[in-house]
Amino acid sequence: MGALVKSGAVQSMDNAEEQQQYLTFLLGGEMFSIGILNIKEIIEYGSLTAVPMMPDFIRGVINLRGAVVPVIDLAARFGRNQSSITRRSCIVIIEVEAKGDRHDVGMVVDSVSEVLEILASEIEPPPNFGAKIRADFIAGMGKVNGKFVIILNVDRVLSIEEMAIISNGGIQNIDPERALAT
Amino acid sequence: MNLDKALQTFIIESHDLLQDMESSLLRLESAPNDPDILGAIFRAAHTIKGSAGMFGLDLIVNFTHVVESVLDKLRDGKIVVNGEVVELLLKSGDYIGNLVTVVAVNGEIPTAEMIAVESELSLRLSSLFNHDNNSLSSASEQDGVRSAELDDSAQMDVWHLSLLFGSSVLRDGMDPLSFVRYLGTLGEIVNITMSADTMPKSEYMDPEACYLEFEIDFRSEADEETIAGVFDFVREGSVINIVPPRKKINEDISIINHAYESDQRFDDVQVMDGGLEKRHQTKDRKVQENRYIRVHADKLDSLINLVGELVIAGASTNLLAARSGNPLLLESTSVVSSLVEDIRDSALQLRMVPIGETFNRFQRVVHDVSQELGKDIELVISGAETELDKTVIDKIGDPLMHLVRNAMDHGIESAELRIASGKPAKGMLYLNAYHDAGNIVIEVADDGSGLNCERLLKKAIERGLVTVNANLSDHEIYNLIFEPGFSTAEKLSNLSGRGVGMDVVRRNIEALRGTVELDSEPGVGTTVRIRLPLTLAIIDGFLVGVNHATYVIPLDMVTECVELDVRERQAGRQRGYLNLRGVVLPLVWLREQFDMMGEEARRENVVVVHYGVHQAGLVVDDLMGEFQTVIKPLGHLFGNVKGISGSTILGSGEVVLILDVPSLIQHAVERENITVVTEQNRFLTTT
Amino acid sequence: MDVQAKMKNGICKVRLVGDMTIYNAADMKPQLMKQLGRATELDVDLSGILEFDSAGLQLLILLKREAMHQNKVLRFQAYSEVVMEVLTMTRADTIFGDSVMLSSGI
Repeated sequence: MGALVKSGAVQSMDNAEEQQQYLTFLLGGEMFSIGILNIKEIIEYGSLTAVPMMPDFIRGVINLRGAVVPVIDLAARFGRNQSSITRRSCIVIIEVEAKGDRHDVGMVVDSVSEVLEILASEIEPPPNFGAKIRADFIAGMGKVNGKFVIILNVDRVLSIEEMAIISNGGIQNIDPERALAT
Repeated sequence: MNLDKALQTFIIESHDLLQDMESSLLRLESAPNDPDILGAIFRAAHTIKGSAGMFGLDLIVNFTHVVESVLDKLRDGKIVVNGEVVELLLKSGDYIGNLVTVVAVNGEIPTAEMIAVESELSLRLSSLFNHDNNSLSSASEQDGVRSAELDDSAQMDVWHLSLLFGSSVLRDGMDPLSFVRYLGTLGEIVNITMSADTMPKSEYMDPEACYLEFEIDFRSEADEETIAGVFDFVREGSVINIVPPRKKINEDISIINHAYESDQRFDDVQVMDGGLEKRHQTKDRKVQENRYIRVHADKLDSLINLVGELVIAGASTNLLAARSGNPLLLESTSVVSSLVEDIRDSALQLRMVPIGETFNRFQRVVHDVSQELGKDIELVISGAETELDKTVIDKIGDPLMHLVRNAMDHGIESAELRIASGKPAKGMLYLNAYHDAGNIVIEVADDGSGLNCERLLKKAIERGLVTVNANLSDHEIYNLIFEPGFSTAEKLSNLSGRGVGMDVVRRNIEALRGTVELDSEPGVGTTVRIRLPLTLAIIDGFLVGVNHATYVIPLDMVTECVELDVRERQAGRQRGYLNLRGVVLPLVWLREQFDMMGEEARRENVVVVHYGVHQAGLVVDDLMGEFQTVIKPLGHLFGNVKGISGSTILGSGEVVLILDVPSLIQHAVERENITVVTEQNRFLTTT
Repeated sequence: MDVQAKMKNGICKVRLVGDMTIYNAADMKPQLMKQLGRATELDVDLSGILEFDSAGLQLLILLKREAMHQNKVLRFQAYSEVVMEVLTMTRADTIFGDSVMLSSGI
C-alpha cells in the first residue's frame, strides 16, 4: 500500500500498480508518454477528412475499419502550432470514456519511439508550475535513464466533454445569431 | 439456464398487454358496452395475472386478481361502465405496470408509497364489487341454479389435458409444476397422472432437462382459449393436447348430425361451412400471431450496419468493374448490386414500425391533460398505419408530447370561450401521419384559437429576432415561435411552461434530419407539420467537390444543378443571390461557409436545394454524381457543427461529410438578416 | 443444498437441507447418486427442503428409480411443506409408492 501514497500524485490512474508500461513518442522535439492500456492501435497518418469550422486541435476524421473516428492534433491541443505532417507521423488510436460510452479517438504524434517500463516508484508527481503544458494534462513525471519524461493523463488530454465544449464555443463565436444578440 | 430470458419476455409482454388494456379502456368511454373491448381488457388482465403466477410474483397476482374480478363483473354487465370506473381501471393498470417494474424488473419490494396507492385502489375496486353484491341479491340465487346445472352435467364438463413438456423448459426458466398449479386456479383437477418415462438411466439423465409428462382430467368452465393460454409460454418444444369436454364434442356432433339428418338444403350446409370457415380463420389468425418473433433491437442494428458496409463495399466493386470494362464482370456486378439494394430495403423494412402505437399513447395523455385543464378535448388519430424507422419513432415521442400538450394548453380555448365564439364546446385535436416523397409527415392539429400574428411579431421584435421593418409573411411570423428564446405563453402553466420552448422541439426534430413548420388561422386552429426522413441509416446522396474536399448532399433535397457562368458568378457574388428563371435564389458559397483556404476553382456550379418551402443554391466546384450512402454519425465531439449532419464512407474508403441542408439554408437566411441589420444600422448612424 | 448423511445399523440416513431446484439440480445429482452407492438401505429425510420445483421432483424420481434398479431399499421420510404440496398436487404416489403417502401424514 506504500505505493499508493506516492501514486496519489499519479492522478486518476486506477491501476498504477499494473500500468508500468508506457509508449513514448515525440511531439515538437519533446518526449511524452502514455500508458499502453488505453492504446488500441497505432496507424500511419493518411487519408484524413477535415471537418470545417473546427478548432485547430481537431484535425478531422478517419475511417477506421468502417467506423468514423475523430483525430486530435496533440500539439494544437497543448496550445502550440499544429503538427506538420512527415513520413514518420502517426495516429495513435486511444479508447476514452465519455458519458458512460467508450469512444475511439486518434491523436497525431510526430513519431512513436518505444514502449518503456517505468516502475511506480520511479514516477514523481507533476510539477506545480514550470511545465510547458497544462498541469492537469500531466499524470506524472517518469524517470527514464536519469531523465524525466512527461506521462500524459489521457482522460484529461482527450476529454471528449471538454473538447466538445471548446469546439462548440468556437462555433458560437462565429454564430451570427449570437453576433446579432450582442 | 436462462431464467432472465423468460422473465424478460414476461416483462415486455406485460407492458404490451397493459398498453392494450389502456387503449381499450380509453375506447370503452365511447363504447361502454362493447363486449369485444370488455373481453380484450379482461384477457389482458387475466394473462398478466397468469404469467405473473408462473413466475411466483404473488404481489402482481394478488392485485391483478382484484382488478380481474371487477372486469369480470363489467363483462357480465353487473357493474356499469362510467368515467369513474374507467379512471379507476386506468390507474390500476398504471399500478400493475409499476409493480411489474419494481418487482419483476428491479427485483425489489414495493415502497410504502406504492403500498398506500395499492390499498387505496383495492379499496375503491372492492367497493365497486360490494356495491354490486348488494344491489344484485339475486346473483347468488342464480349462481345456485348454475351450480345445480353444473352437477348435472358434471361428467360431461371434464377436459382432458395431455402435457408433454419440452426438455428445455426448465433451462428456459419455466417450471411445469407452476403450470399445473396455475391450472388448478381455473378449475378443479379431477385426476392427474404424472410420469417421467422418458427419463434415461442415471448416467444419461440430465438434471436440468425436463422429462415430466402429465395426463390431467380437469373440470372447468373456462373456455378453450383460456385453458390453452395457460401453456402459451411453453408451447414451443412441448406437446400440449387439450381435449374439450364430451359435452362440447357432443354439441358439435349433434349440430353436424342435425344438419345432415334433417334433410336440409344447400344453404343450410353453407351456413355450417361458414361457421367452420370462421373457426379456420380464427385459427389462421392465431398462426399469424405466432409467426412474429421478438428480436433484440441491437441485432437488427448490427444487421443494418453490416448491410451498410455491404452497400459501401458494393459501390467500390462497381467502381472497379466499371474501370475494368469487362462486360461479364459488369453484368455480374449489376446483378449483385440490385440484390444488395433489395437486401438493404428489406433490412430497413425490418426496423419499420407503424406510428399508430406512438399515436395511441396520446389517447391517455389527452384524457389526463384535458381533465387537468378542465377542458373537454377529443383526440382523432389518422394514418396510424404509416410506417417509419423504429429509431425515429423512439425519438419523436418527446417532441410530439410537447406539441400535443401545447395545443391542449394554449391552442384549444376553454369551453366558455369556444361557445362564445360559436364553436362546439368540445375541442378537437388531430394526430395524422402520411408518406410524402421519401419523407413521413406528422401533423398535430387543433381547432383552437390559432396564433396571434401581431402579438408574435411584437414579441419577436422585442427579443431582437427580427427588425421592425422586416417584411415577413404570416407563415414566416408563425414559424418564429421555433426560434430560440421565444415562448408564446403569457402566463406559465405547469404543462407547457417548463422552460422547454418550441425551439427545443425544432432542435430535436432537426437532429433527426427533419423539419417542423406551423400554420395557423385565427379562430380556426393551428397545424404543426413535422417532416422526417423514413430512415436514419441510409440516404441517396449527391456528391459534390469543393476545394479538394468532397461532400454529400441528400439527393431528395436536390432540385437541379446549374452551371454558374462567368457573368452570373460576378453578379451573384455581389448580390448574394441568383436569378433562376425569374426566381430569386439565395446562394451559399460552401468555400466561404466552411472558411476554406485555397484558390477559387475555374468553374463553379450551383446545386439547387429545397427544404420545406425554402430554396437555396449551394455553390460548389464540381458535381460528381449520385451515390448511395450509409450514414455514420460524427459523434459527440462534432455535436454542434453547423452545416454538417453526419458522415459516410466512400467505396475508396475515404470519409466524406454529409451537408446539413436545412441548417445551411437557415444560416444563409440569418446572414442575410445581419446584412440587412448592419445596413440599417449604418443608415441610422449616418442620418 | 446440504446433503447430510450418516450410517446407522447399515442404513444410510440422508437428510437434505436447503433448496432443491433447477439452480442446483446439476450439483445435487452426483451427490445423491453417491449416497445411493454407499448402502443397500437408505432413509431420505426431506423435511429440510425449503424450495422444491420440477427439477427437484425429477431428482427424487430418479433416486427412487435407481434404487429399484439396484435392488436397494429407499424410503422418503418427513416431508417439508413445499415437498408435500407438490406431491399432493401431482399425486405422485404412483411413483413414490403408497408407503410414502402414508408416512407423509404429518
